[in-house]
Amino acid sequence: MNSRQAILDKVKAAVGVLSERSALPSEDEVAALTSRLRPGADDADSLVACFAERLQAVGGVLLRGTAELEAYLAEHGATRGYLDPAVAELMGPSNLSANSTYERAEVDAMQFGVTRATMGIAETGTIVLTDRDTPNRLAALAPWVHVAALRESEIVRDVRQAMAAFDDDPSIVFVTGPSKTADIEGILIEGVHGPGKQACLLLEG
Amino acid sequence: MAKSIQEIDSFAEKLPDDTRASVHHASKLKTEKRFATLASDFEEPDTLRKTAARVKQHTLEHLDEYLLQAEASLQRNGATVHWASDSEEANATVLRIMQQRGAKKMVKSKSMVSEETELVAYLEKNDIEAVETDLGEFVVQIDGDHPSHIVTPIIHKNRKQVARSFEREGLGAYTESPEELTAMARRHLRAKYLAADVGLTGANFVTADTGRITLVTNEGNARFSMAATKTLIVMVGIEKLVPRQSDLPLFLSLLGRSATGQALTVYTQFIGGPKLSGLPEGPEEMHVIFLDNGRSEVLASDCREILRCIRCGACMNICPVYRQASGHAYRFVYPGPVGAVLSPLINPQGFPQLADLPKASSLCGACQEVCPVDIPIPDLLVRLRRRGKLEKAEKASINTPGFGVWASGATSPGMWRAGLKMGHAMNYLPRVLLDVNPAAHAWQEHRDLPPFDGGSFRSWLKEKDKEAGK
Ligand code: SF4
Repeated sequence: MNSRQAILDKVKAAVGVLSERSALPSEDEVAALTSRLRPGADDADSLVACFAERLQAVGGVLLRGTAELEAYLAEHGATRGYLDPAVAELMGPSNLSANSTYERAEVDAMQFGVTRATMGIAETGTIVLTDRDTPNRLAALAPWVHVAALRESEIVRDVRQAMAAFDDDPSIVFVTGPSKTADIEGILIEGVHGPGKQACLLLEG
Repeated sequence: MAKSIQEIDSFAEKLPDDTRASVHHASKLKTEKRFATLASDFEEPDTLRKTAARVKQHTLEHLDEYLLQAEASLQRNGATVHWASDSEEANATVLRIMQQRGAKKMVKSKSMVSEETELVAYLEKNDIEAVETDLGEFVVQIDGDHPSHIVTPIIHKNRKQVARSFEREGLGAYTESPEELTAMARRHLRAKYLAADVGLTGANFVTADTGRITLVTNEGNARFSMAATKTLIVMVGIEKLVPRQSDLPLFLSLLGRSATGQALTVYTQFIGGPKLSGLPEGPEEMHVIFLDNGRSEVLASDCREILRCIRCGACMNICPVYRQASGHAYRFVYPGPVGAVLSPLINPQGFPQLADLPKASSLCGACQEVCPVDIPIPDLLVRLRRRGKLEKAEKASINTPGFGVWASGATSPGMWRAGLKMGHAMNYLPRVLLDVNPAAHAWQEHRDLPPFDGGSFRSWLKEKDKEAGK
């Protein structure tokens, strides 16, 4: 029994009898359907302003600079956590004390994770994470507070532009706000399996 | 008179009032959110729906080619591709993959195809622990219940019921705080992820050109299973393909907004194979199982448009029948308008068993209007009614009401307007006064009128036009 061939044969027979088949809308036609959420222009200031606004709209928090990051973690009582060395280097000197490795055995003890993001999407306030920039998938997901570090120049205009920049990374994740559910009586609760607090540390350059 | 009511109605009739209220409230809320975001974020939301419909229709009509292309792309990305003709074969494939790795524990994301194949029950019989990780699905699992909605599985339950179930299962003391209930599930399921060998998910889209599985969740459960386990299995219906990765911005825009009123669902994952080597967490192996389970027959039928469905749930949220009857009345995995078409076609008991579903509709057309891929559900329902008649399906012929009064009202604008104005008054009239038409009587005996809320469409439209300055 070869199900592959059986399925393909059935599918082929099903569509083979059609007297007419629909054409595929061109890529340009599909690409023209843009949303009003997209920033009006794609200069750096417009992108940053729009990203900041949308991030807030989806329940995320924008942090500018190391001092704001430290204050944010303190505000949420997050004293133990992980700071990706690549981000530490980007940030420069700080008072933040954090582990430079993330161990599975410590998942419950780690209250925050600061990791490197790959892109930001202005249209939707989305943070893009990839395997190449995230050395440990759990570190960006398991802690209650997740902070994704991003440079201003890494913000793109819309979802389409972000997807056009995909390489062959096997795990590309769009993060649009904190983990949430409305399963119980339609009431919105944040922090189901992923972070209850999602922030973006936006650095110059 | 033996069995004078349709089965869907007897379900609806037995539905407790608080369940009906939960379902009605939550589905109405989602309909409103959908409308607010789609209409405000796009100049012409209808153009989006119609374009997405054409992309999907094209894909279906060339599905053999796209399946081959997707298979090659997935393999290039390092995934192993399997094919399953039916539920049994799909489940057996999952079991075989697990046994080959000596795996005993699975964490599972919400996946409607795996509901179709009853995967969890099958695995449990074979000594595999399979845990649902979507909060709603988890509650369904510990209660031995079934989901009643494809996006929000426990739309039929309230917090008290959830609290009692969690208390019973030892997750924590009774509480009516949804925050605390969610925190209990977080703790409980986190341990399950970290102990599991295998993560299983469905797929929202598969891109034929790049071989990526696209998966959306709000909770992050699929993401967690792909961070914590070493083997990833994706079970996906053969209709889930889109030709190009560049089609996804359109589909994601529509899916999030139609399902929950979000511009994007919180986590949108694009999975293109096992993790990069050298990284500590993530799957080392990825398997994709393409499941037919009746879809190729639907493709050969005059209802193939239903295969465009992207499972957003908008049609059930807006459907007056769904809101009254709730999901279980549809007696298969897919409830609401999409289920009224799809379930009779693919359920394992065969078409006659669910031949009543296509009749449970007033053909009001709301489902097609909200559908992000513009599926002509009312037309498909009519085609299935015809099939029910031709095949002399017993369930298709039970107690069809006379629609005389409705018809005269609907064709006379004066009466229609007067009737609408009376709408609110009807909430206060004793039911018996409404049972004046003997033909309608038999029908109404088994149905409750929903409370009349809101004004008429006409006055709403006038308001809208005023706002828009027309
Ligand atoms: S039929 Fe349309 S509206 Fe209903 S679930 Fe499918 S895509 Fe959504």
